[in-house]
Amino acid sequence: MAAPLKQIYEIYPSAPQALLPLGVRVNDMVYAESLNAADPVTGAVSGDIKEQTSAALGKLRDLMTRAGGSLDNVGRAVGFCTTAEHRNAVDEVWMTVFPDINDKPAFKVLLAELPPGHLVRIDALALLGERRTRFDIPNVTAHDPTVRIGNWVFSSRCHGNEHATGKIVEGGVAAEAKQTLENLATLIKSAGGSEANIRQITTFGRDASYLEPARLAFEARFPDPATCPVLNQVINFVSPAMQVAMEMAAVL
Amino acid sequence: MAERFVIQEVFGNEDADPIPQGICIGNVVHASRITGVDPTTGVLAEGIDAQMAAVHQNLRQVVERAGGSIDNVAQVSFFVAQREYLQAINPQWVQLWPNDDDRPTYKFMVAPLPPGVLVQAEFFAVLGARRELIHVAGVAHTNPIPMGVKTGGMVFSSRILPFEPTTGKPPEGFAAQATVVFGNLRTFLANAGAEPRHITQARIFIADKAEMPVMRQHWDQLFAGVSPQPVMHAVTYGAGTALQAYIEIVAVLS
Repeated sequence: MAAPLKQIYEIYPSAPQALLPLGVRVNDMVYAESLNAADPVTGAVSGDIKEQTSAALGKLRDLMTRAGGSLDNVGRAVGFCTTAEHRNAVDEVWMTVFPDINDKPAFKVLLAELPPGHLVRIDALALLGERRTRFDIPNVTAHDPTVRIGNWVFSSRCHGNEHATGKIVEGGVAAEAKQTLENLATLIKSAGGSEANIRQITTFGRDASYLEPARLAFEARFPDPATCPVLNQVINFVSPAMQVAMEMAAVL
Repeated sequence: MAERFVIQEVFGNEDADPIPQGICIGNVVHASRITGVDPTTGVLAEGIDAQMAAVHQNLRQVVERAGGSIDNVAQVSFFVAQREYLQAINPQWVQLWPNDDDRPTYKFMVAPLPPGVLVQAEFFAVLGARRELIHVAGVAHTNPIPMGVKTGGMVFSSRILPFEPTTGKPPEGFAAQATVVFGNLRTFLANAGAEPRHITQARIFIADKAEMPVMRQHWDQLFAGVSPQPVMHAVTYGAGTALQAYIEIVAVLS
C-alpha cells in the first residue's frame, strides 16, 4: 500500500518560453531527469565538460529552490558523460557544489550516449524537508557515500572490499559480488534498516561476462523472488581495480 | 503492510543504455525524455514516422517494466522538433490505444530538441488503477483524445479548450476565450468529481503574456478561499493562432 498521494506537479525553469520541465515533485519527493547544459528556451548547448557540468548542477540548484527546498535535500544523483576521460572533470565540479565529504549525496558517474553536443547529464532524487546522514563500513574508504535521507537509503556504487583488510576480495566476479552484497547489508543495517528494506539493486560490470555470476550471487543472497529487490544489471565503466560494483536504493 | 513509498528506476534496455527511462514513485510512474531510439538497434530511428513508432513502443515498454500496462497510462506529452511532425502522432496513438472510449489524453508542443531528436515524450501512469475518461459536453479536441482522464484518485486534463459548449467554437477575443476556458475547467472538474482545491498543478498557455492579468483574475476567482493555491506555470504558446488561451491541470482527489 502506497502512502496517500497528496501533491504532484512538474517543476519548470523560470523562463516562460521554457517548455520542458526540470523535474517532477510527488508529495515531498523531487525527481530531476536529464539536467543538462542546454539553454531552456533555445536548446542550444555549448561549453567544455566542466562548464556543462556546472550549468547542469546550476539547474539542479534552481530546481530544488523552485520545489521549495535546496541542495541540502538531495539524496542521490547520477552523472552521465560520453567518455571515460570526462569522468574526473564531472566529479571535480560535483565536489565544488558538495564540498563537505560528510554531507553530500550518493553519486556516481556513468558513460552513456547523449544527444549531439551534450557532454553531461545529471539525474537526481531529493526529499524535501529532510537532511542527509552518511554511513560507512569501518575500514573501507568510500569516495562517494551511502546516505540516509528521511526514510530513504541510497548507496553510491559499492565494491567488494573485505572489512578486515579494506581491499577488494580476491576470486573474481562471483567472490566480489558476494562480498559487495554483504557490504550493502552492512550499510543498510548501519542506516537503521534491514535487507528487507532494499527495493532496488543495480549491478555494474565491464562486459556481458559479469552478468550471470553477479545475478547468481544476487539470487543466492535473495532467494525468494516474491520479496527480492528489483535487480537491474548495467554494463558500464567500473574502476580497473575491480570486476563488479553495486548500488542499492532502500526505503525504511 | 506499513505505508511507504516505493521508489524504483525503470530502464528500457539497461544492457545498452544505463540511463533510466523513468521512475516509479509509489504507484505513479513518470517517464520523461522517451525518444525514438529503436529498441532493437539502440540508435535513433530514421525519420519522424519511425521515431514516432519507436516512442510509442518505448512508452509501452517503460510502463510494462514498471509492472503496469498501457491501461494504466493517464497522460502523455509529445514534444516535436517541427510543427509538421504533429501529424505523425495520431496513427501510432490509435494503434496503441484503438478504443475510442478508453485512451489516455495527450498534449503536444513544438520544442527545442537535441539535434536528430524529432520527437520526445513524457507520460504519467498510475499502477493498479484504471482510466475513466472525462469529457466536457460540446467541447472536443479534433485529435483522438478525451478532455482528461481520472485514474487512481488523480485527474489529468489535456489542454482545456476555449470552445463555447453551445457552439463548439472559440469566441472572438482574448477576454471571451479566457472566460470560456475557466468555465470549461469548472465543468471538467465537476465531471471528474473534483474541486479547485484538489488541483496540484496548472499550466496556462497564453498567446500574449500581456493578457495575463485577465487570466489571473479568473484564477483568483477559481481559487477563492483555497490556501495554498496550486503551482501555476504560465507558458507563452500559440501566438498568431486562433486559440489564445488554454489551461491544463493535474489534480489529486483527497
